[in-house]
Parts: sequence; C-alpha cells; structure tokens
Amino acid sequence: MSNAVALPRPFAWERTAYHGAVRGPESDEALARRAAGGDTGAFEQLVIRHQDRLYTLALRVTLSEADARDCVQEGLISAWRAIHRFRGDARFSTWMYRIVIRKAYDAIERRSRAALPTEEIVAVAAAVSVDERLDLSAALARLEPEFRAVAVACDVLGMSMEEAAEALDIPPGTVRSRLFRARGRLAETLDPERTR
Amino acid sequence: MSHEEIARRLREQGMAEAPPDLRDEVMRAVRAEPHASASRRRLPRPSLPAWRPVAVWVGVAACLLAAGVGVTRLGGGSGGSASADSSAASPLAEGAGGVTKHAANAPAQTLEFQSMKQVRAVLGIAAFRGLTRSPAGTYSVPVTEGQLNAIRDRYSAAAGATGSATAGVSPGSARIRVLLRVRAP
Repeated sequence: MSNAVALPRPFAWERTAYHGAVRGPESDEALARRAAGGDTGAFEQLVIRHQDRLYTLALRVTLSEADARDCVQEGLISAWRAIHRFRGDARFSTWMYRIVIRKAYDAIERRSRAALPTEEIVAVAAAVSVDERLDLSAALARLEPEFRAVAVACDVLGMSMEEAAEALDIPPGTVRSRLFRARGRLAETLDPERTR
Repeated sequence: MSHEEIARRLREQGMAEAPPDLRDEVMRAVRAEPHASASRRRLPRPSLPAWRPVAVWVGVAACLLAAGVGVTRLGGGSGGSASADSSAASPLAEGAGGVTKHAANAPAQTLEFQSMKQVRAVLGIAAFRGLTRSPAGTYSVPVTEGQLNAIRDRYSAAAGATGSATAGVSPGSARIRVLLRVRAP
C-alpha cells in the first residue's frame, strides 16, 4: 500500500487551470493594435492603465484640476481618433504623454491669452508653500511649465531622460539641464535655509 | 536638501489620481463615435484602377506603332497627303518655299523648308524626327533617297490629277520645285 497522498482532483484541476490562465498582461502596443481595429474594450484597458499618470502630468503642469481633466479627456479622445496612425515606433505611453503635454501647454497658453487668473492660482499655491514649506505641489507651482513637465516626467513618473525627451519632444540634453535646475529650485523652495 | 531627496519626495508625493468618472466620460465619448479609427482605415484609398497600367502600356505601344507607320508611309510614298498639300494656303515659290536637295549622292538627304507649315504639308508628322532649325529660320529634315523619290512621285501624281501647273519635278535634279495651288472652293 502506497503512502503517497494523491492530490484531490479539484486541486489538480485548479493548478492546471491556474497554469493555463497565467499569461502576461497584454502589452500596450497589442491593445493599441486591437483598438485600432475598433475594439473599444482594448482602448478602455489602455485608459485604465494610463489615466492616473496622464492626469498627474497634466495636473502638475497646468496646476488646475479642471484643465488637467480636460487635457486628459481630450487627449484620450484624440488618441482614439488617431490610434490607427500609431505605428508602434515609440511606446504607446510616450505617444499618449506627448498628446497630453501638448494639450496642457495649450491650456496654459489659452488661459494666459484669456487673462484667466493664472497668477492667482500660482500665488495661492505659493502662499501655501510660504506657510508650510513642505507643500510639494506649491513648490512645483513656482516653476515654469517646461520645468514642471521635466520634473514630473523624470521624478514623479519615473521616466528615463530619453523617454522624457521623447514624450516632451525636446532633446535629452535639455531634459538633463532642466531637471537639474528644477530640482535646485525645488530644493530652494522647500528648504531655503539648508540650501543657503 | 539634495537633489536625490527632491527626487524621492517627488516620486513619493507627486502622483495624483484621475477623477473617478473620467474613464466613463472618455469611454462614453469613444463609443459615441464607434469604430471611428477602423472606418477611417477603411476609407477608399486613392489607388490606380486595375486597368490603368494596361492602358498605359497600350498607349505607349500605340504611339510607337503610329510613329512606325508614319516613317513607313514617308518611305513608301502613299499619296495620302497630296490633296491636303494642294490645299495649303500659300503657294510655294522657288527659292522662298522650295524643297531643296543637298548632297544628292549621299545616302541621307536633307530637305530644307521655309516654315513648319511646309514641313507638315510635304512630309507629314513623321518628318519631325531629326528636324533642326537653322539660325536663318529655315528647317532642315534628313530623308533617305527612297523618301525623296516618294515625295517627288507624290507631287507628280498630284500635279497630274489636279491639272495644275507643277513644274520642276525632274528626276536627278538637285532642286525640286513644288508649286501648290489653292484649291478653288
């Protein structure tokens, strides 16, 4: 009589089923190809994956929740309309960042042209930073949009210099110098005494 | 505060969450234009119809054939253009509009014309091969001996048919004089 304990069949099935089901998550590019064929479900997967990062980029650059929301929404809809032109030369995320960052810059320009209270937004944020000195958002708000974009791309979203350069459509050298200056100015804002 | 510390704080505190209803709004807009990308891809692309390359080759072949036929007719000397020649508006006077033969013994002859109208009237469209224009404004066309004889015969026949006074058509002459008369209406 054998001492071996046979596994109950359901457990074995589960293991089999489990192994059978293990597949890596579908890549962005594969989803984009399906979306290009009209698969809205695939596009929704892409939205779910990237919406937070896209929103973060737009919010930190525009400093306005309403603008950031509009930028991401319009950017995603533009991406859906143009997804058949996405050829996979760049990563899908990079392509999306580029669309959204353009919308963000446009929003800032529109706001400045319409004399909307950009300064007020920045001033309020700056006032908070003066009081608390720890408010990272306020410190970011004191940077120019181009510097904010680089700091957010590299430090918040964790892009490499090359990825950030591609997403922001600027040379890698410009990314490097802007990041250095942005960090320096953030350090001054957040900890002026130690920086001096 | 070091740059590394700034980077760390940005990494830890910089992220924001998208509004919860953003996705639904986007997807509602996306579904409102269903298969937009796919339908755009299916738009009829401007492409050549299947018969067009064939038509191009047929056209090229027809042009070559027409050129060949023209050369053959010039050499063979059919009198097709004789009547047309006789309807030319201005009579050709010797010296001014005559067809001059140079270097009669050479295998290739050169005919000289005062105007393009004369070239067309005497030689037809096939004569444009090798046509040159001199600084004096005359036109020279190289022809073979056979072509020259054909022209001579044609104008002799035309003269006989119309009864018009056509003089100077003499074999072996260095100069061919063609006198065209305006046909009476």
